Amino acid sequence: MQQWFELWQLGLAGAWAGYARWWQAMSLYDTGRRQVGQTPARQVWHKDRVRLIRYLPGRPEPRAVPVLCVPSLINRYYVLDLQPGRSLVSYLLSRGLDVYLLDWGTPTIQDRHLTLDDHLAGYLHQAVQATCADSGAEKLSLLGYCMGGMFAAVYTALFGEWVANLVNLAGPINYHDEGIFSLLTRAEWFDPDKLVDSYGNIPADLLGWAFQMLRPTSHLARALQFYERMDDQDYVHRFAAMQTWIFDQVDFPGETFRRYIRDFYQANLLVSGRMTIGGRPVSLSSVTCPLLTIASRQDETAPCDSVTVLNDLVSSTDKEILMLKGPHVGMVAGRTASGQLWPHLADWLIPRSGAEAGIMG
Amino acid sequence: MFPKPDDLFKQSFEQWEKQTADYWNALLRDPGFLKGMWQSMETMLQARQQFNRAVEQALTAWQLPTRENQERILHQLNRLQTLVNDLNERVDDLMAQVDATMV
Repeated sequence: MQQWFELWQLGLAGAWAGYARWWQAMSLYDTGRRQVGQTPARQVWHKDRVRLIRYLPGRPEPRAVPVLCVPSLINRYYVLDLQPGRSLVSYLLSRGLDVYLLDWGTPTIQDRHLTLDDHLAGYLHQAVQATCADSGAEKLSLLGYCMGGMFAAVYTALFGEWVANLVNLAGPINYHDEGIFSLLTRAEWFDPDKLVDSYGNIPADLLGWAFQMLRPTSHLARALQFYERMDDQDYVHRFAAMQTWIFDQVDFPGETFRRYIRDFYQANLLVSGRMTIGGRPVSLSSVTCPLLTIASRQDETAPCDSVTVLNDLVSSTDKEILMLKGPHVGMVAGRTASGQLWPHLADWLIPRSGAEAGIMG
Repeated sequence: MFPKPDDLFKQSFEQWEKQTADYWNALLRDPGFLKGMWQSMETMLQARQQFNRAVEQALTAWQLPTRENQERILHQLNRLQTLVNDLNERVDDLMAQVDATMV
């Protein structure tokens, strides 16, 4: 009887210790979840769901040419400002750059008919103008991440007079590659019209499912890793911030999705030089400003050859390719980003952000 | 010496995870699989569209706006709101210019 009682006591103590450990980890997780997008900023412009924010400069007199960050249309902007200590934006501010960021907001049913032209020649162009008006510069550095990288390249081809420097951070340009999204969206089996006609805006859950298909077991592996390291406060905070961002996807405006799949993935019009936006042809060879292209060989979302091809298509003489290690998000906000991407990016931007670079030529 | 149960589980899991990921990656590159996957999705979408059409017909019969009508109206309202905001800004700018010349 005594032995049974001791065994029961031991079991209860073990269960209680496990519960306390889990409770503490959940508390840390909640703290990490609330740490996203914390760098102080103010809104300088907005239109419909789209807003432009300016981060409070890290120095009294920031460099003359502002940096406008353009994130992907389907992910939340704060991947570039994930949490204190893991923020590209914060690092650029600390190096004296003047940083603006375009938040595409959350599309609702009223955005279903918005086209790619509305996003590029409308919102993005107006955000560029608003950035220049607010900062007093005539030109800016355009930094596009993921789909935003492609947007930045197309924008520069159309409105090059506003762009002093272009940074394509993991933005696919050639859509006929060996990447899984290129395969998934082939015209032989995928018809975007059926999806758009049925759903309107493409639901975030469906997009999340497509990303999940890249490695379906990844969530399970991450959960196991979390269980192993849930006593490590720093790890739990990082994990929580990243999970919050991963599951905070937004819908893809229907008409924009239709054209994105048809013209980019299926017809690859951007590379073949047959793309038009607002009736104007988009020729990447008209890009002459300094260009930095950043890619990773481990990136499954934007394969490196698909990204780096931009440097072959532009006419810029000052152009560079930076090859990094790590996955699509990890290279921007992962543990190694602060040692690889951020310093190199700032070192490239700073000499090109003087007063003379911000004047329209 | 036997390995610890935790280590054994972790090793087995990692091996399973890698094998599953490799298998899935190969499967996703198989045109037959992709075709089948999208076909089943299209069937689901067709069912969804048929349901949507039935709802639309019912709403139209009751002289109520359909989802498509609402989307279009909202889109137009949005455009009008933007236009009014732009005009407001221009009027403010013009008024500021007039005030400046009056002074």
